[in-house]
Amino acid sequence: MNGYQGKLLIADLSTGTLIDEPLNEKYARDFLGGTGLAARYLFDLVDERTDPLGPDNPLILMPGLLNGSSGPSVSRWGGATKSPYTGHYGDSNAGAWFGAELKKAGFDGIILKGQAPEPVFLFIKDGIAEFRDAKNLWGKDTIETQEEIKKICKDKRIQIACIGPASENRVLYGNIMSEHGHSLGRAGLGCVMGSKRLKAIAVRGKPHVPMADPEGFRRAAAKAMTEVKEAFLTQWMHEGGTASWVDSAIAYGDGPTKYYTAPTMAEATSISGATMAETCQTGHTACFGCPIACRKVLRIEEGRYPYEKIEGPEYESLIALGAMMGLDLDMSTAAYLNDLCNRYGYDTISGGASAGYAFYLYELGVLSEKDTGGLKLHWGNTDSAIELLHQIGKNNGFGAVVAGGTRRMAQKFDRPPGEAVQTKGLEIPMHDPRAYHSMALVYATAPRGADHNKSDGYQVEGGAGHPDLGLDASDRWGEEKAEMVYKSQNFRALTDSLGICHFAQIPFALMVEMVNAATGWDTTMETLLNAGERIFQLQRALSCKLGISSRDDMLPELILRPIPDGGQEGHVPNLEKMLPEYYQVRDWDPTTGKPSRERLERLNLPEIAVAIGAR
Amino acid sequence: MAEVMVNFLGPLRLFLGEPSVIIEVDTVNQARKYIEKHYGPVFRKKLHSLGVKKEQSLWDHSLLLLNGRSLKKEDDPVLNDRDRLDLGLAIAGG
Repeated sequence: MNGYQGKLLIADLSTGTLIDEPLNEKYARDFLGGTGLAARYLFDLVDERTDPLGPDNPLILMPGLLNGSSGPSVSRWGGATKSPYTGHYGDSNAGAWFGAELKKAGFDGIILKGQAPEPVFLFIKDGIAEFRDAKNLWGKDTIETQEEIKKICKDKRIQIACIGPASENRVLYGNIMSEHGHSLGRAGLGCVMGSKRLKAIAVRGKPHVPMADPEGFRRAAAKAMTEVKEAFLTQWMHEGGTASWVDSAIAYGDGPTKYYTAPTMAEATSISGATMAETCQTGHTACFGCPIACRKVLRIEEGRYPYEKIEGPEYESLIALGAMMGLDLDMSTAAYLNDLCNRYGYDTISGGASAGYAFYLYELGVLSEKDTGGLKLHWGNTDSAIELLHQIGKNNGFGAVVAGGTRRMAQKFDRPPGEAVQTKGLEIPMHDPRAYHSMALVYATAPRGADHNKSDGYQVEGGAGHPDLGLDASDRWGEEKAEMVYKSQNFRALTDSLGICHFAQIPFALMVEMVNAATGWDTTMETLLNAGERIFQLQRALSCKLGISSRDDMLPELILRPIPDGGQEGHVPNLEKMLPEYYQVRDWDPTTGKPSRERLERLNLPEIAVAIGAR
Repeated sequence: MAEVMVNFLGPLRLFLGEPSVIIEVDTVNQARKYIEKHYGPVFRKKLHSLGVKKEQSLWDHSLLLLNGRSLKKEDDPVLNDRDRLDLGLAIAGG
């Protein structure tokens, strides 16, 4: 089966059995790889009764279709599970080298089932898998864990995905970490891994993935590599990284500040990507096969937490762990807070936003030191923020409350539900929908809950358009967003499943060439976009199967309050206008929120239509 | 003519050599021309120094905001004293 290894690893933690299972060729053809393929397998394995932290909930990890190939920036891999955090469909994507190495190690994915009686790690090398004892690794942070496993396996080049103490401690937004800061960060996939007592997965393989047309693939990949290397966006991302967005966020009012209630903190420029480049950047790291190398290596000599060498925080973490709590951070403290969360292994977006909500409630007088265990959560109190982030990672003290996330916090403190800034249980990331109105639709309709990476909204609305999708640049505060969001969601569902990074400027025609040369298929841009829609609708159908309906496609009230000062200039998205138009384009039932039977059948998903009772 | 502040957002200041400039122009198109004339060569030189051979325009992926509001490429509003233009890059992700 060209383009694939042709098999999955089924790992049962309860029994300790490891079985190779042939890859379902129809699923692969229809859902490609990564989160698309993972979601399709997941659909068959979970329902509303599945306990997310019980042995029956599978955790599925899949490389993107092009992972491990010589294509540029095709390192993205994904995972899917029933989320313990949101209670319904959860997925997440990451870069780094793990996905490529897993594929080279001989597998198109791993389905993890059951629960081990004692902590173990899974070691896969050249197609052979085994469980190994991890009792001595339990309790170690994510960096220590990876270093220790490399010693145990006597291989410095082994690639590892692991959990930290947060997921061992059942922090519901615990993540799966790889290297120093790459994470399957959202929806609590790490917590599920912790519930299985699986500390890590270590993979190593030989560089061979069967190709239908190896020479054709090399030609297409070389052309794509040139396109990526020559793109200005590549140079921009290399120079500034995602942290470069901080300065833009200040201008546009895009970076949530003081729990989404204030203009983006101008002081945040002191921790921006450009400031890193000017003051403390010593190098870069790259994901597998990526010429962009957007991740920063910093040496920080000044401040409370000096570092000889540390990877620079990404945009989302900088805002979530800083402006969200009103913290005026220097580079040293920003790096420390990010490192702290990464070592515990939990989502900086949900963690930072939930901590921000605690600060907000404290400032309102709803919470006092009696509630917080003595923490003074005034805006800007960095010491209290540090202590709170520690408590979240340990799931103790007041941190155990914040580890439940904003929705549970609102319930616990009898607050209005619209005060918890989340959709479908997942906190809204650091791109404010009042700065980019399309993000209102994106967040309200994303299958797993708020997901800033499931569209190109702020690229199109920022002025670049999306020529491959026929999308012109549009006003960031307009309301005609349904068609644009629909198209770019389908496109991102596609690229996530192929394993292509958002930042790689690969012309769509070359993506098609690479897919055809890898697999031997005769696909086109139209059929691939159709696959993107199929994947998105499947993920939506899975959400509906697990209890989501149209009433969940909403934005919380707090984030619809205008902020007149700053880059938002008081604009608020009109979701009531946009959502019905979007439903029409998606062909979703206005009451149940389910995709229509006709649309699902047209997308070659008749069995999904039957399973969810689509009409 | 209006006195207008142009901010070069984020890493654009690394590509253009400074964080901002104050210029005197009447319209946004005149501001674009001023920026192209004075900073276009700086931008291209920087890209060449990074190994990029393809000729590219500063405007291919850029976005311009007038007092915080997105402008389309064809928009050419008249400028007033103390207006603020923000020049950045349109990119998704992060």
